[in-house]
Amino acid sequence: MLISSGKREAIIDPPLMNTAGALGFSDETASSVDLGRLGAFVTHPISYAPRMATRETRLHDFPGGFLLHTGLPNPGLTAVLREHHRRWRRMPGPVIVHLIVDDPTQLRRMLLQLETEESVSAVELGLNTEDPALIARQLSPVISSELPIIARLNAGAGWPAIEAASAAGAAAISLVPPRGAFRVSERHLSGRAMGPGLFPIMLERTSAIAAALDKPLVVSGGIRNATDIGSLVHSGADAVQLDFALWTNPRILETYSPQGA
Amino acid sequence: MLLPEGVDWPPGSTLALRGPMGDGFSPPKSSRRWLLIAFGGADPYLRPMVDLGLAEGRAVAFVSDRQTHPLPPAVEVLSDPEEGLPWADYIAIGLPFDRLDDLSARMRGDAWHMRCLSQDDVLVVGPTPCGMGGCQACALEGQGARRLLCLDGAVLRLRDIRI
Repeated sequence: MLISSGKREAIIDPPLMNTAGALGFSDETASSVDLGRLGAFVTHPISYAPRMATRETRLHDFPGGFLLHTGLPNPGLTAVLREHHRRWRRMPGPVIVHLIVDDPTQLRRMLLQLETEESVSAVELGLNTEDPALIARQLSPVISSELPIIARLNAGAGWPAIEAASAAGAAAISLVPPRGAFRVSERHLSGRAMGPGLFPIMLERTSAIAAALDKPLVVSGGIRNATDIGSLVHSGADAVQLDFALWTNPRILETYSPQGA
Repeated sequence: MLLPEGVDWPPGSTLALRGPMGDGFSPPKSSRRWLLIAFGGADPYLRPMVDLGLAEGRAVAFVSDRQTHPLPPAVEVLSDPEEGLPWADYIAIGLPFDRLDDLSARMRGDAWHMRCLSQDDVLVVGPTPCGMGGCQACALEGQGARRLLCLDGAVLRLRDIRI
């Protein structure tokens, strides 16, 4: 998969990545996962200012998956760059930095910082809204960015949201499962839904969107094995991102082959 | 729920385990009076310390906020952790993530301020879905650095985390 900002481009080959939040900030998991088999490495979500880990319940199981709520802890972009930029330079493939989008001014500053870091090939922006007007506003710095930008949306986002991200200059669209919620001990717990039960939803959305989208499409959610990867690629995904499968079945990277897709 | 692809674990299978397999509770050799504090159902994690302490001739006191299984008669059961603070020369605490705020509130009290905490341990019982330092689901804010239970734990020094 090739993504381009018009000024820089990144090639993701094979079309396999980890989801943001699956494999840490750089090479922390290299002893467990063969990072060289990824077409690109996506960092843990990074914010402009430091974020602390949540003190609430962090994981809730349900049949077919689980909800994960961490609070997206990270020391902030400046600290992450200081600690990890040398490691990024030694990574076997392209590094895509995932940024938490809160404010366009902060996003502009973060993009400018990353443009000067030679080890960064692209940026993925995590959008938490499906409002096209809000997406356009949040992504306003993207159009002038040198780095290719992947706009990540929840799978439930409608076509207007996808169009807004594309029109704002996103080089690719990434779809993730929607957030979910449960009532646990009289508390409302919401988080990122993960697990094999989500795969049918993601496959359906891939088929619905890929045909009409004129940009590369990245899909994640519910992928268990190489067969699932092949199904998504056959349905139109240009690349996939893996999450829990990298924890429970790290050898999934070895079992994938383009011919099997 | 999340079993590896094609898993088949008949009795007698050898399993390859992934973290945390690191440090357990590490009371100082010179400590003689152990206070074990269990919040939020962490009792089973501290129970082995009861047997170990008694076997090594130490005085053991136990506090739990839940109905715990019967303890040996030699163990002094306290109703309140603060009762044991002036007496203990080693404290081991077990609690889930969502009880950290409760512990934080307790530790603002005078009884805790009198303690050094340098040799006391805490086991935070929480999810470690990736077990390899990737997902940050087990992250604890530390003094100077974030700690991950899967890599740095399972037991941490109380002084090293930000309660």
